[in-house]
Amino acid sequence: MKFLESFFDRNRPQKSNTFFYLYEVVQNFFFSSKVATTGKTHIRDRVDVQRIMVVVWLATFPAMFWGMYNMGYFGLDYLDKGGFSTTGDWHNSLIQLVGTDSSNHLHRFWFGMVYFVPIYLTVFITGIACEAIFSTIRRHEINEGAFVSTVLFSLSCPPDIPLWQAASGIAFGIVVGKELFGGTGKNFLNPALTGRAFIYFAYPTELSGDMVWVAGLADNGSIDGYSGATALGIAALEGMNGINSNFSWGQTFFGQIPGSIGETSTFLILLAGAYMVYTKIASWRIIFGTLAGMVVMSSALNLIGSDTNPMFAIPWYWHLTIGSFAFGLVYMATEPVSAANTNMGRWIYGISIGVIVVLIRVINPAFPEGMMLAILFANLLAPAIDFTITSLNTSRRMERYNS
Amino acid sequence: MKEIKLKGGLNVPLFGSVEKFIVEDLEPKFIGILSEDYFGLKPKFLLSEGDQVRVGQPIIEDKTNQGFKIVSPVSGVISSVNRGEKRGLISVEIENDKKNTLFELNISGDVGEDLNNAGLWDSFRERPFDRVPNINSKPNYIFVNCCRKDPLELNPNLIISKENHFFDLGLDVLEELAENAVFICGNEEIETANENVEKFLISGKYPSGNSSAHIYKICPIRKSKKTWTISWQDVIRIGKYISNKSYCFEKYVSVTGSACIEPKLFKTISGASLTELTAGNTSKESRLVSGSALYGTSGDSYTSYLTRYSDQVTIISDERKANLFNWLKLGEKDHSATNVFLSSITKPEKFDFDTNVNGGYRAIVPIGVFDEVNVFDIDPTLFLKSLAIGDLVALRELGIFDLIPEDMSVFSYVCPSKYDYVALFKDCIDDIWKEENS
Repeated sequence: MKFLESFFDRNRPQKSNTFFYLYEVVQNFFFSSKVATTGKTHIRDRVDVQRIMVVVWLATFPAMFWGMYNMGYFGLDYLDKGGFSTTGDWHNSLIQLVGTDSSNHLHRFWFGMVYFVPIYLTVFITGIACEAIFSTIRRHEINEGAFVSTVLFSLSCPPDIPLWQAASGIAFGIVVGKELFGGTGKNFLNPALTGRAFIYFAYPTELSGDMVWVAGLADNGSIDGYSGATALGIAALEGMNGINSNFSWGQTFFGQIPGSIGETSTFLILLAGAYMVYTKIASWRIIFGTLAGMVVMSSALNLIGSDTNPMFAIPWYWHLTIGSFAFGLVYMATEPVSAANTNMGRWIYGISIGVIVVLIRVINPAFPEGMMLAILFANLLAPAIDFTITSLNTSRRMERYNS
Repeated sequence: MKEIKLKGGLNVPLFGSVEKFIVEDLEPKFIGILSEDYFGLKPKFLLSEGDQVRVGQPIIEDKTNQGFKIVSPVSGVISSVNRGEKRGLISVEIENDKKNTLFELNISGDVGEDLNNAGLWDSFRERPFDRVPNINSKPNYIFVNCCRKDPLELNPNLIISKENHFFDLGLDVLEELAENAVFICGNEEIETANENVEKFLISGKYPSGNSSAHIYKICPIRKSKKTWTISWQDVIRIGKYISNKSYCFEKYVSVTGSACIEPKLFKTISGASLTELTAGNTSKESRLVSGSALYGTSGDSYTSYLTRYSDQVTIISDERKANLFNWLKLGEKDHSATNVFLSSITKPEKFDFDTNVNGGYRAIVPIGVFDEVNVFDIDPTLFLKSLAIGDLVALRELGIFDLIPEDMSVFSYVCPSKYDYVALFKDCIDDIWKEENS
């Protein structure tokens, strides 16, 4: 590897060169930088932004692998029940390479991979390309944040999403959600969620309803007695009775439900969350704040009750496991840049997400899924929260200082 | 005796601390006076390159602080006056003839004037700008810092208790100067016969030894009150001056660091040359720092001298190597304020550091480490972001007047985006100073 190292050293461009930042990010992928500290602080922490992003990326692995297996489970189950021999699109030839036995674990996993890997690849290449082109033109460093945005965006997609929609979503997320404002570190919205919200509203026919949550369902059409609806979708229509007749709480907690690729297993997501809190990359204040807000708000609505809206009766532990609450809680709400930046602010930020998500899920008739919008709303609130918190600090200080 | 426990902060466990209290004397051949030690200095030269100087002879007068003199701590020849951009002064280097011929010392009876004549006025620094106070001004509060600022330097208490007599005499002078109170902050109980000073016991992680942390806990800065700081070392020097009626430029210096073969304690002269202090004591390719690894000055040959306010020299390895696929490294030997490395589980007692930045420069990603290591009364993330964009109006409100550059070093250390907040702080406080004094 000496040869590669000297290759990079020899070809290091000037900082004024157009491709300096592109060179830097590629070099950083292979080798750590050899730049020496200047100024007064002579030693530095070993952590850098690249490492932080790698930790988050690793933390998505459990949800990602479970997501693939689970997609295969429901996809093959559906094919079996409908008596279909093909998924009806280009995925089929790849799936046939291994087989379509609906009780074989490997076949399930392969099925999921065939659906997920193309989505992830498309999103990854599009997202990184947007970031690289933008950064090169704007002449600022290419940030590894795009790395995380792309994987999170992929995991938040439904299994059957057309690839061009996934590509346009992440492009919107990276460019409008982040790069227009200066790149990672300066974005006020979570880029992955911005992209997700964009495709949600831009292509509602393909990305909502009951048809998109099981791979292959949209192409072959529905079959009698089979519903591809998510637990949250059922809850919105039929309330607790509806969920109970389809899923047990354990199934929703461990992730044996249809849904977006990465969101199904609350258990694995919480495990990843524990890892991120341990490494101090994710803020525990935001996570517990969000949980607290959700528990209090949903319990309050339980108490109030409603005869016409069945969602009022959903208790907090179901809110936790159905839909993308856990996924958003661990991976999206904790995004440090668009969250509040003070410790007190992080609590308030978290609580407001928890409250808003229940409000949207229960009171809003149009969207059963509230987590995405709740986090985006809270992103918009974050600067105001910080401003209020620091005002307390600054007004106290100025009063003292001027006395 | 009151106890103050500071929350937050960071333990940076480095190798190479001075443990034994064995003093070696060293009279340096070269000494240097560095202009960066004096905030806002506009020098007027009383002597020029090649002139003979005697101990205590004024070399520079500050035009922005009428009457304040920077004096030579040794006798000999001014070997060079180094200037940088726009002919701004960088350093004055003096070759010591070791004859110790003294400049005539005037003692008038006025404390301030006498200290200035003895070259001791710069022992004091006034907040908010961390600047040598105006001659003839009197402080309301003086904070004496007896804390071990960096874990590598010798526990100052050992020296203070040995020089107890002089320390007490120095405190008497401070008491005479201060209109309201003198506070002593130490990590251990400081023994002193002086009963009028208020003593505080400080505990906490780095940077809880910094005076800024003590000031906000004990008696926060107000515009109408003058707050000065002084280090234990200078109190002893003032005491010796009072006792002997003669110049005193001696200084205890811990030579420390992971690339230092044998950490030692020297008794030398203020401004001593770093190369002489570390001669034969460095291993590998290393960087000499006046101060600690977290906050210190390392310069080229013009500025490689002990800075006015540091009692420590640190030698750090300057060898940097690139790791292949660094982002996958387990890091069982890598220190971090976060827990992303295996070292958070194996918990080695000490870590080896080098001068690598350990990453690429990125925009600030505030994952919350700033809040965790903060010991001051600020909202760190917003403060640091304001530094990065140079928002002077916001910085005033967010508390820049309560802090000085050295307080920023802990944030520079932990920053995953590798910002240098010390340098940013200096730029901002310089601009504020210019705004208020033009």
